[in-house]
Amino acid sequence: MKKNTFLAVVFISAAVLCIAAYAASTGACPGWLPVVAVMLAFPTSVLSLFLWWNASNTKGDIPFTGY
Amino acid sequence: MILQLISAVFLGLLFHGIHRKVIARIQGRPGPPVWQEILHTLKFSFKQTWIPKTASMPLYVFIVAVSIAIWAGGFFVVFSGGSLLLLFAVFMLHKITEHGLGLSSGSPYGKFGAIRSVMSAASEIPLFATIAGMYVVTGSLMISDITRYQAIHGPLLISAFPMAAALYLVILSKMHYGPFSIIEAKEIVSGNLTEHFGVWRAGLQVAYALKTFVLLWVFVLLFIGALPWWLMLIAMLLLLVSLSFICAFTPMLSPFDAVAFETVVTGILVGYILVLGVSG
Repeated sequence: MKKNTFLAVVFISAAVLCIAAYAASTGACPGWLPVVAVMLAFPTSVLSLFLWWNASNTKGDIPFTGY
Repeated sequence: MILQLISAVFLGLLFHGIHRKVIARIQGRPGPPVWQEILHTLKFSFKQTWIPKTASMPLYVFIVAVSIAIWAGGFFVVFSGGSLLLLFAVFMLHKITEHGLGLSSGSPYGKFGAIRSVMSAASEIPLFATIAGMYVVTGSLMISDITRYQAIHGPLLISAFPMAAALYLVILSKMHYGPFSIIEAKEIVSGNLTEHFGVWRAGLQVAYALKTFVLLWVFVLLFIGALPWWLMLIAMLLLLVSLSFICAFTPMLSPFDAVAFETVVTGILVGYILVLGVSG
């Protein structure tokens, strides 16, 4: 994937985390739903963030996932 | 909610650094600075990353995400005062991720680590005995009920010491450089972690930091009770230092001895629970 794609994933998953935290604090949805959202979005955001700042600006697909 | 989770990751990494520092000081070495594991995680996240040719790509990548996800779930189980059975499920899933980590890379060292992970499943049996004992003593498996029980009857660390010892052994079996850390022993390079490098290793550092934080936290909650946050952190730190002492003084056991030791402890605990259950 391209560097910008990782950045987009970081933003989307961070938005999901914020919405889940807000929903949990206001009690807008059942308690388990924000937890499930965080369990899905947190690893995605962490790994995408790492992959984003790991990726180079000058090359194509980094990290190399070919062969 | 998110702030607590991120704080738990950083505190877990800091605990790992303190663990390494204490072990080093006991062994007469200067040791790394206590924030070394935070730096390690950042360092790994900037390292060149790819997927080995021999790896099973989906498993190799997703097992890292699953490792973070299950301990994030474990964090919220404890945070919300949820059921110990859910925490036991997180432990079982952790065992599967350990196994998957080793198998996914295709490396022989990783596979040895994965096999040892299955062998050391005995380390989870004392946890099962602890959970059963908790129900016999407090009449509930909810962490919130158990902390309320302690507010009335006093810390279970004293009245149910064998169960505390069993959970202590479970946490010890999950510590780095401990007597039961056979899955990442140096004779098999880094065991099941060998081929996970760069971003993948940084992700695993995050997952294991959460794991350490959750385990120390749940021990204090179950056997000392609910404390103010600063006192809770001090209690967790003291628990960690005691674990570091054992890790520093004890050589790594052979896989067979590690399993045998944990099985014997579980046997003793089962006897204790039976006596407890019969005598009321």
